[in-house]
Amino acid sequence: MTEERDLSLLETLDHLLDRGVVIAGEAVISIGDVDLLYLGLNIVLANVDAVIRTGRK
Amino acid sequence: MILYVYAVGRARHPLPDDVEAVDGGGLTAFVSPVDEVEFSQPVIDARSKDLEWLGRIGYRHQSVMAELMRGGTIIPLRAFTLFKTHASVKHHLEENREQFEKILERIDGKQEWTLRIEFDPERWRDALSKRVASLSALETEIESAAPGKAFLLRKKLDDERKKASREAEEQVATEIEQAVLDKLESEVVAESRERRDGAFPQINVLLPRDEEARLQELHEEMARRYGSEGITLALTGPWPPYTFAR
Repeated sequence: MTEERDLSLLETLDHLLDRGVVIAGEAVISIGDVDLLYLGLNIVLANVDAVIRTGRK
Repeated sequence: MILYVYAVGRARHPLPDDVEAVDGGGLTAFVSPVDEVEFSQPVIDARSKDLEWLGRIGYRHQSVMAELMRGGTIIPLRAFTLFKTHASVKHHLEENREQFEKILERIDGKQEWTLRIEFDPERWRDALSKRVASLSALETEIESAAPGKAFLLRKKLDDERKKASREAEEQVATEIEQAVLDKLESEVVAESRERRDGAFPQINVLLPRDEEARLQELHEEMARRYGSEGITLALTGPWPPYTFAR
């Protein structure tokens, strides 16, 4: 992840967004008494994956 | 304001600009306050197709992570990990202290690399016919069949091809995963096409820094081995070890 290596935005987003969370379709607003929010980004991910999939053909 | 949490590390880790430390259980969470409306579920959902907006957040996330990693080992969290208050972050650190410490030990001195396995549609289709005898037999049968029968056979060929492709993809991924495990001192998490919502399968590798050159060598060797079948292995990294951070 150093600057010298040209990792594209899409590659980056593909790593930054956790599909595990997304697949579960969760928008967990609080777990027990811990106010932890994981936000699902289903639509974006579908997009990013689609571009990564087709962009290299 | 709510708190965007980038990562968890050990106490006294150097802080990047505009990043605050929240301490708890001998650990530190690296956070920035963000607007709770801008980072609310409805707003994010509404903007979730806006790649420019998402890119800005991703770029910021990545630069903070790069800066943090220069200061030592950290547990990277995915984008959009948000907590409501400082107290809830602190509580989370204390509650999960043992787990976080185990992860820090596991990833000390290591980096994550990704091998994505990409299939060129046409060349992979040809390669499949060579791999699977029943497909080439069907193709030959179609050539000499009457139009009505050929139509049905083509449908059958399509179905069988899909099935064979799925199986062969899995086999290739397993072979590559095994090669990495055999040749390199590493941990591996393979993600199937299914797991990746239809995108190409990939293999995430947690690798000690001094094994990097051997991974590059193995990558070249495997690229040669699978290239003739229309398979490209895209090696990217080093990434923050997101896959191994839980």
